[in-house]
Amino acid sequence: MAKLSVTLQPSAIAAFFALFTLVLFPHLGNAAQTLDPLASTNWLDLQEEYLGEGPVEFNSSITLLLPPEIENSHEVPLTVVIPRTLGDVQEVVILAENNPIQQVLRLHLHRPVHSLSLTMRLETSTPVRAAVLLADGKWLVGSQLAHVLSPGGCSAPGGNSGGEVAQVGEIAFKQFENGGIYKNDRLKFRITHPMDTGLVTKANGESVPAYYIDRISIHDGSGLLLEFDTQAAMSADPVVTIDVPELQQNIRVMASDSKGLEFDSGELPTAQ
Amino acid sequence: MIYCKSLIFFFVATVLFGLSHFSGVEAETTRYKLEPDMIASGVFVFWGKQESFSRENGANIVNTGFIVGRDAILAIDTGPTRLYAEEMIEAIKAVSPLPIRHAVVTHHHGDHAFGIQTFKKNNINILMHPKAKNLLAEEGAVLFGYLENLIGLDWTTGTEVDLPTSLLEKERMIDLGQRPVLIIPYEGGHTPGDLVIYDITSKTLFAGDLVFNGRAATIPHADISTWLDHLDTLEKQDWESLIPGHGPLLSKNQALDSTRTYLAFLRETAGAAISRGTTLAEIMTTVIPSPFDQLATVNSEFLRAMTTLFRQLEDEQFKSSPSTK
Repeated sequence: MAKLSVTLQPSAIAAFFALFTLVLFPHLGNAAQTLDPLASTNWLDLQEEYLGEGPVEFNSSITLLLPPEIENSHEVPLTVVIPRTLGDVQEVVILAENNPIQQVLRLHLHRPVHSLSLTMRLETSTPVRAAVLLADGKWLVGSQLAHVLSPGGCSAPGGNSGGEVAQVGEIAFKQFENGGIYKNDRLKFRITHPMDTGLVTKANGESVPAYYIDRISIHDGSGLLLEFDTQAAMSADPVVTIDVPELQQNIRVMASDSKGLEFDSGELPTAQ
Repeated sequence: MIYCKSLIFFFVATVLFGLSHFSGVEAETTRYKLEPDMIASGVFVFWGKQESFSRENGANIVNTGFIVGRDAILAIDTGPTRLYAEEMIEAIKAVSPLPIRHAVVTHHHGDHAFGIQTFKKNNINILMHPKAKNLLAEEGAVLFGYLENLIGLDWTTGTEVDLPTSLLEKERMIDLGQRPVLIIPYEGGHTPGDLVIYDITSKTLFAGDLVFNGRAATIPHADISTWLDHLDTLEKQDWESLIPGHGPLLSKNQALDSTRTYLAFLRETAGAAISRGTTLAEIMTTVIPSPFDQLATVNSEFLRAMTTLFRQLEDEQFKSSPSTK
């Protein structure tokens, strides 16, 4: 018996304790908590690497919507709901723990956003996190397990850009009035880009070098709205949807990629 | 003590693994055990399970069959693997000594077309729509990879994607000896090139995957509007029994509503979501309404269908909205 406890990892003890705590105090499961609800063994490393020093709290009001099972790991749809009750949000970081590229994107907010949707690459089944930074320096983390049926979203060929018909850097765009979760403005755009991870080897043995959009910014008539730091863990031709309650006219999407190319949608007329 | 237990476990596991992999046990399990069901005089069906592809069923989820004339036999579809096709041919031979002269492959999807190679080796004429042949040539290898992943090498061993020996673009009559059988093309609905087989004698219609009964339809190569039109046409044809590609037999005048209403539901759900700006993740996590939640395999097929339709509709939407370089 003594031998058994010696072989247990601290994380396993934490997982057991988390379960134990939830059984004794089930109400904690719905509210903020300091223990990882998914009891991941990697989480503390991720927290240190991507969220830094600030205090972290797991919060189930940050909802992550993922398909219950994922067949196409090159193009996994994710929607993150960021309830307005959280108040002033500074940053949102999307992390896929078991990915070779863990940080999918980091969003810097200059105005409120209530939901963020994107298509991403998942190498294998993994906890997916949406970490939200509040003005007081505290991180709130929402979590969901992604069940991937066909692994290889980052390293296997496939999920290619529709680049023959559209040119790299072409930005297509659609606005939905009252389409958002709080019946507010929803903005959806797609940037044509291969988003190569650098981890794919073609059938002929040639490896495909990393090439991806690393920065996206959105502007409107009243200035800078949002900035994204993006990685190749976003799908080819990524589609991003955001709910922005204070969206103004003359929206403009700009992006740059890892070769230093700059893309600009120009000022787009407001959609119908 | 623990050490001891794990040793025993290791030993038992090794023995079991060895047994299942290197002895007769495995050979026993990788058989489809196909049994022909006579649904009319000279008309037989091998009924597939109402399931998704799995390691347990080896993709035996599809209905295949054959029609026996005075001189010859015509097979409908070739099944998902070499093993399936071999068992199918064996089972047909047990029913009748007549030669299997033709095999009509209703479309290019693997569960219907990956047995082609085996039928070819038996000198059987294999008919397909030219568009289905092209798709099989283009996508066969990729589709086979998916299948192999889902059902495992024990079932797929020795299977090679192969192409038909003859093509059929227009309606054609094949006589099996006092038994005329009509082969009718239905283009651009379920896939670009589907074929339907109609046995005039028994008024049996083998509809391929244009009709699903009690199972969620698959739409990766579909045009739903055309497909719905095809269903109307099929419904008006003079058949006593209809054999769907998947699911149980439909009797005379039984409407094709199971397929029709589900297709309409998919189109409306995806269309409404795209025009409102609802995201794919949002639609995938909604509850499937009744009665569609009762369909076999609907949970996984709904996700596939929404992914396919979103890609198509989103593309159209972006093309029609402001876009610059």
